[in-house]
Amino acid sequence: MTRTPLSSADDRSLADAVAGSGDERAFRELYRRHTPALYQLVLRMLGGVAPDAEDVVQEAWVRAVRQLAKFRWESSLRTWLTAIGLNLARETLRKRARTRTEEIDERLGLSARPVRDAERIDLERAIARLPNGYRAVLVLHDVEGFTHEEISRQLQIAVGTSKSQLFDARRAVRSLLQPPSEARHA
Amino acid sequence: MHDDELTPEERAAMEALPRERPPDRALEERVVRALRAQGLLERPATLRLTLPPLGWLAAAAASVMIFAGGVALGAWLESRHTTQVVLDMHQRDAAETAALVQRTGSAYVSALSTLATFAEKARPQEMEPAREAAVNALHAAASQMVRLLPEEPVAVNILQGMARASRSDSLEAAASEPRRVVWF
Repeated sequence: MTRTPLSSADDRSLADAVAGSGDERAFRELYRRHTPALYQLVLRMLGGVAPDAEDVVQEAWVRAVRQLAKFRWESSLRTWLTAIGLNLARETLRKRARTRTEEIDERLGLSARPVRDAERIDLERAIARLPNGYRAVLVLHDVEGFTHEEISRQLQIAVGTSKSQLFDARRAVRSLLQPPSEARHA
Repeated sequence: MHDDELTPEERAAMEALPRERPPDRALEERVVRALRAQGLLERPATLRLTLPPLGWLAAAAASVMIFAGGVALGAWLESRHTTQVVLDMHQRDAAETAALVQRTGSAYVSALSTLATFAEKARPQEMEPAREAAVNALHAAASQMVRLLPEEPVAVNILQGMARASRSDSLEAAASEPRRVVWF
């Protein structure tokens, strides 16, 4: 009898091993397979704050493993894990909002804060500077390819709100990416 | 339209953003520890040698036996080598026996000749050990000849003559000093 190497085992087999017998090696394989994408998404959603993103990833895996036996495989493991991660990221953003003022909203507003002459900003940093709501929609729609309906379900907002926030988010990003002279005259 | 479309450049820039980023390696261990702490993961099974006390004794005995077996095997291989060397040597001796006998005989006769040269000047007690050695050498040589060729008349006569002489010597020796024997 030949044993399937972990790296070639599918997610479901690995998940069964984790849920059934707490197989650590199977878990590590799943972790290494899906964490880089989850971490990047969560990090972007949280505006590039790595410690918060790591906490979210950890908690996402704990919740996923705890509920793994009940997972019905109607979606892929990655989609399910992403959903858990996004919910946790939203919780983190809400906690942040409660503990400090939304200074970024004041800073950016709808037209976003004009960039100082000496400051060069790239797309990643521009996204990180967006208000939380704008950033979530823009990341999910323009970067991750979610539809407004999926975003609506995921973030528990109306489809119209998703579209509206995407519009504002794109405007804000363009403003942040504008050359300084154009930004001053805009 | 509520959300204006991205320009091709903007879309390309969005698509160029990385979709994956590996977190710090320590995070994996942190997550695993958290899962273990909640009883959701088991440590991977490691090969542990758990033996009862008698098992350890048996293991120690087995180790000694394996060591001794190794030594015995080495010794056997070495002895086989040695046996081969001795066998080769014997085969070589058999081939050279005639020459060796000839060389030894020449040396024996030469030694007796030298002894005869000194016999006239030397005192009888000084010659006795040499005479005894020469007689014993002759006796041993004749014995080997008879062993080699039982019917060999010269060797048989030498041995018979020496036996007679020995018997008469014994009678005389009983009344005189003990005989010194040179063994070959």
